[in-house]
Amino acid sequence: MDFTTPTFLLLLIITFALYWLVKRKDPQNLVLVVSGYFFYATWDSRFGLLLLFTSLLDYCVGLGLARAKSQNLRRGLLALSICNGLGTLAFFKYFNFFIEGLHLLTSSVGWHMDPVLLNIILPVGISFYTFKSLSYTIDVYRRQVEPTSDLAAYLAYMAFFPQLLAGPIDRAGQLLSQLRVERRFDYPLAVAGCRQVLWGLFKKMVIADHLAPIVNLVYAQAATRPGPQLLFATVCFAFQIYCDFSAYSDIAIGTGKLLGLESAPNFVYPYFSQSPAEFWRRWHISLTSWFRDYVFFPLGGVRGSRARRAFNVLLTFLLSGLWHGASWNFLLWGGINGIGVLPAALWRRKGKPSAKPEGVLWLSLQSLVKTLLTFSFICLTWVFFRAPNLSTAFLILGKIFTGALNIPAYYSIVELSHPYPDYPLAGRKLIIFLLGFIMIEWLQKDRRLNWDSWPRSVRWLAYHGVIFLIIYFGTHIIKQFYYFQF
Amino acid sequence: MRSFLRNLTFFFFVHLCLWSLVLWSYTRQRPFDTEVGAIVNDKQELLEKQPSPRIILIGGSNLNFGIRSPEIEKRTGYHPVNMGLNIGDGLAFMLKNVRSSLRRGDVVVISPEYEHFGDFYNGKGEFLYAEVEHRPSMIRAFTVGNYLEMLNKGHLIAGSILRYTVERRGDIIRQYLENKENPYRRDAFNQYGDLVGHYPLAFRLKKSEQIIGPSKSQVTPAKIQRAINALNEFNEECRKRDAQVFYSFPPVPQELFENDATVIKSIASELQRQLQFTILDTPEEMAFPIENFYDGYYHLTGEGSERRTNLLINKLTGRGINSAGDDTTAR
Repeated sequence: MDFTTPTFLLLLIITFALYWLVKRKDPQNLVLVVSGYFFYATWDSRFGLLLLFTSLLDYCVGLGLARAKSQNLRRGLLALSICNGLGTLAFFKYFNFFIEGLHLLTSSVGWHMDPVLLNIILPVGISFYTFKSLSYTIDVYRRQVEPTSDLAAYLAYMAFFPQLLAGPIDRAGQLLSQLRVERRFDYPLAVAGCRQVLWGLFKKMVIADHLAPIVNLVYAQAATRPGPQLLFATVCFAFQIYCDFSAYSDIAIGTGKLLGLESAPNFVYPYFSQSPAEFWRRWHISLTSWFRDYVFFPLGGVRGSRARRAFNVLLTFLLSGLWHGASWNFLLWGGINGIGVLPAALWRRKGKPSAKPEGVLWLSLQSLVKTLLTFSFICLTWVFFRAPNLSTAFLILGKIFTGALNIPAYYSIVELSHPYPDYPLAGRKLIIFLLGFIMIEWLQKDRRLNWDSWPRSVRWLAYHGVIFLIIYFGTHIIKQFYYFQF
Repeated sequence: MRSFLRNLTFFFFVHLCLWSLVLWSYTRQRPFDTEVGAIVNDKQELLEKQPSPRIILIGGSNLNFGIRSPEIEKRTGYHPVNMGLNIGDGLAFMLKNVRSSLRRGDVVVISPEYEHFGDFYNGKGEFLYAEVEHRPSMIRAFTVGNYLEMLNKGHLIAGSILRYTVERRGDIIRQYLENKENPYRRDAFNQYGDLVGHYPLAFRLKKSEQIIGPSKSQVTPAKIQRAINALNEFNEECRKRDAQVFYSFPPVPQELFENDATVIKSIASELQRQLQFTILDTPEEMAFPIENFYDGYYHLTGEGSERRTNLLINKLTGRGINSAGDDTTAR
């Protein structure tokens, strides 16, 4: 059941109706648990038990941590939770990767072993709900969050259906605390939720799904495509992944708002960042902050010598890369991003949010150049994220740089305008939509688009227009959200 | 809450009004009566009116393109009803659609495409919707799986209606239907439901189109089992009504058969092991030269359809299906 299908809308309507009909906290949480497990079962019913086991174990660990007097017992309980979470991830996600790595290592020293690889199916959403669960037990251990004895609330927190498959990774302090108290319907919040869901659908179905075929086509034929086409496809991928993933977050957060539950934003206009460090404060915030709080800070954060700080940053980003997928591509992607963030960590220059230029031309130009340089750097890192393997990634980068001055090859980008004849949004129209989207994002960034200040008739006209655009340009092939694979 | 629901209802009421304008324009533009999809009306009427003894052929477009019903009638004495629909209608719908019209003494030949043992079992929403558009009563033959499929593709169907209306595609379709080089017209079918308009046209199956095959439709053991169960249940229903059921494999180009041999053979072996009625032929027998295909890997040319029909008639008469008394085996 994909977020972009009418069946999800039906689930949302039924959940919304039951949720607000029962009104009280416990039945409301029960509605969320049932809808969460139903939603999960539509994806893969086999692994529902795994989700339930992880939830119950960490619920019990939370209670145990509250009652345990000795520090050793508390450590033991936390270790149990961490071993279960990371162990499950290690088995389902990283088993083959580690075995292949071991095989490479042993081969390099002349010792040959036959690697035993397993045909393991990755349970959907495992990376997200494992991190959610771990954050709860760690926060309880640190006494930053009160452990809950409310089982329904905890199960609802873990199986909250909008966030189940691809986040945001809402911490217990954010979401569980709301599930433990009575909720009242909040009209402005619900309207904001509807608007966010609509905008998410637009980003996914109109922008991301129409950029995807261009990217897929060029990346599948990387060896035969000229550098400028590869560059164009990489820029397209930058927008595809943003519009896809932030759309999922928008729909998840918007759905939560309809149920009276607020989440922190997961994306804050990341492509307007002026440094890689700032980008990482604006991109997939719930994951970045998870790694910051549970990996980077325990390692020492920005304390200690420069070498130590560099080590902390790089290790955090390497682990973040590995979280995305068990492959050398993601590891290198994480490492390069870590290198990009190093200057800010080493010289303690905290990247400021993009300051509004104060009317001075050179300041604006400086901001523009910084933004473009940051965007270029991020685009290059996306090559590792998107390419099927390292050799293809290096091939693409090599062709992008060596073909940069091949001016006639830039004209060949026009070929990519209509990769598939049945795609309703292609060519110039697609570029216009993309530019329009960037402009809207830019206006929203500086809060120049205040929907609530508009007359209702204008707002409604805009909503109807967006719905018609989504339906008009909705592609024939339903595509899963990109981050479902993680 | 009340004001939210009131505003939301009013918003969707306005939206529905806008949609009714779209639908009004859409229905005025669309040449429903002459489109290829309208053939479903003729086929359903033939299913009701064709006198006994009948041979009812159930399957997708492999039957539309690959059967010469007059020849079957001449050599077996049975009156054919070619219920070949679209692969995208799904096997579940195809079987249920015929079930209520079965009569004593009917001979049913089921020839589903290989994709029906994969993710085409419940059909595809857009194709199912097309059937309902041309004949709303077809919805009675929908299964739960069909409804879910339709619901899941609802927004895409709405999108195609909107694009059709805004881009005024009706005019383009009319021009297309006037072109006699195009066999996708209602009047390109004969009175039995066979597509005959493409007989004079040369084959034009491109090599690139052969790449797509049954292996791309996610055939799994569970999905094969689902289709076999449905076929056996249908056979049981026919047995109760004294109708006889046969299975025939669809024709595919030799190259495709070789490329997808693993998938095709896994389907065939399960059918041979579990099907509770007679299988007339083998996938190998139904692997034809590429020149026998018109524009798709199930779409036979006139020559190909002649070859396939002869093969089918010989198999049927070999099983005693012959009320005409011809010595067909001599041909």
